[in-house]
Amino acid sequence: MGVIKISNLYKKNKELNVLENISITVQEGEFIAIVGPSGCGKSTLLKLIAGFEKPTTGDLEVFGHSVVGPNKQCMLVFQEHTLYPWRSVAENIALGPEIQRWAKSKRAKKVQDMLVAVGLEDFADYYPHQISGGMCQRASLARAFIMEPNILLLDEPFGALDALTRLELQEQLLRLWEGTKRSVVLITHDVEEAVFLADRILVMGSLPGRVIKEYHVDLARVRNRSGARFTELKEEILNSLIG
Amino acid sequence: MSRLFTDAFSAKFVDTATSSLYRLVVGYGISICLALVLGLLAAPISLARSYLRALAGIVQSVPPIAWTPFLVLILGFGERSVLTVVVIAGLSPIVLSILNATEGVSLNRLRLAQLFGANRLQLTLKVYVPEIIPDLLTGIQIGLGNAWRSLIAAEMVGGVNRGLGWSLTFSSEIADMAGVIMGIVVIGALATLIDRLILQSLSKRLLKWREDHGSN
Repeated sequence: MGVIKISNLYKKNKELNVLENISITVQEGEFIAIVGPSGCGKSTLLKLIAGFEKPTTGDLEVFGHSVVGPNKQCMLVFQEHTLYPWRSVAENIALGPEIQRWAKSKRAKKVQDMLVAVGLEDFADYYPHQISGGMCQRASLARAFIMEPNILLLDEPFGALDALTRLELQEQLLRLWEGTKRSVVLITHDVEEAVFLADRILVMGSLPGRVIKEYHVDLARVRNRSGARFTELKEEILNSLIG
Repeated sequence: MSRLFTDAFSAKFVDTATSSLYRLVVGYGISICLALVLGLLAAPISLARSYLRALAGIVQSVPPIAWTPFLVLILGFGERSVLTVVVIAGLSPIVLSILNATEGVSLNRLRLAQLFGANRLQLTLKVYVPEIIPDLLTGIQIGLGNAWRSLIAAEMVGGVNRGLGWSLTFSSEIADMAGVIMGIVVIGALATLIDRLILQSLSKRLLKWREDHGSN
């Protein structure tokens, strides 16, 4: 059974076809990456799944139910950090539990666990502007993972980070995810990131946005970035993007 | 010079100053409450926002003191007319600051709270209010200046017989130069003190999270 089931989905923005005939099924525990040029509608696709926008035509189901509004099965992590600047790191991670009215003791314990999991235990009381961009994104991941969402939507979460921090965060994400086996949809520009993380990679073309190719990554994790199959896949996907 | 100091602390002058301060607290207090209610009610509805913005713009372009002749006709000379001028004077900057801040609320931060399942009240308390506070404080600071200036002016023409504005006119009429100068000095000093002592310490406390931003 697919966790996310998208069939024959079209999305128009005025006269522009943003997405054309998209059909994707995401299985439970599957890590999907969507790569594509800017403007191919991949962020729109994520907003549709999260329930912030409606498809023009076509079906979009999450756990067998049509998506009608903000979808609480999903958690989103954005490219720019969306931590609340008036809350400390720990308070940011506690946002979801607060809204869901978890008991104080459970909340404190879970927040502490997440702080440790993402290596921010010494920065709990810092405000977002006092820590680095990489740390902010780690806090954003923690804020999403603490809710134990069934579906994690990542909109170029590491796109604004420097190369070194990006590698670090990719491994961090893998560690957080592997324990839980939740479904992940990752949007990215970075083909290497996709090959490193995902079970399946969808390549999108633009104007109109559509899926043009699909790759299965049959490599054991943690993947060796310089392995023969890894680099071969990377080349292949890059070529399909350019061609 | 020495008369300036002895007079400044005379019982009569203290009474003059406190009656002005009292009017400011009541009038501007009403302003703030009214602006908050109007602003927060209109904030989520874009049509209501544009109406309120237009209204605030119109109110702002009429000098508050220009309302006095009209107010005096319907409310009579005295306290009520003066207070109403203060309320009008303080309103626009606060309303506009709330409207501007609401439109600047980060969409992604809002969406995130929705995914966490926040209801309307939670969205207001956990997202809108903290997002608005920095701009709101600026609005309140500007509004205070407006309200104070208009209060003094209204006291000069509004038919009250206490207060700093009244005292200024009175001193002038009896050709008391020291009294006039003292009046102006005290008017300036009091407003500055209120801003320094109350508003700035309030904003320091509420905006603690921005402490080592360039602004502070």
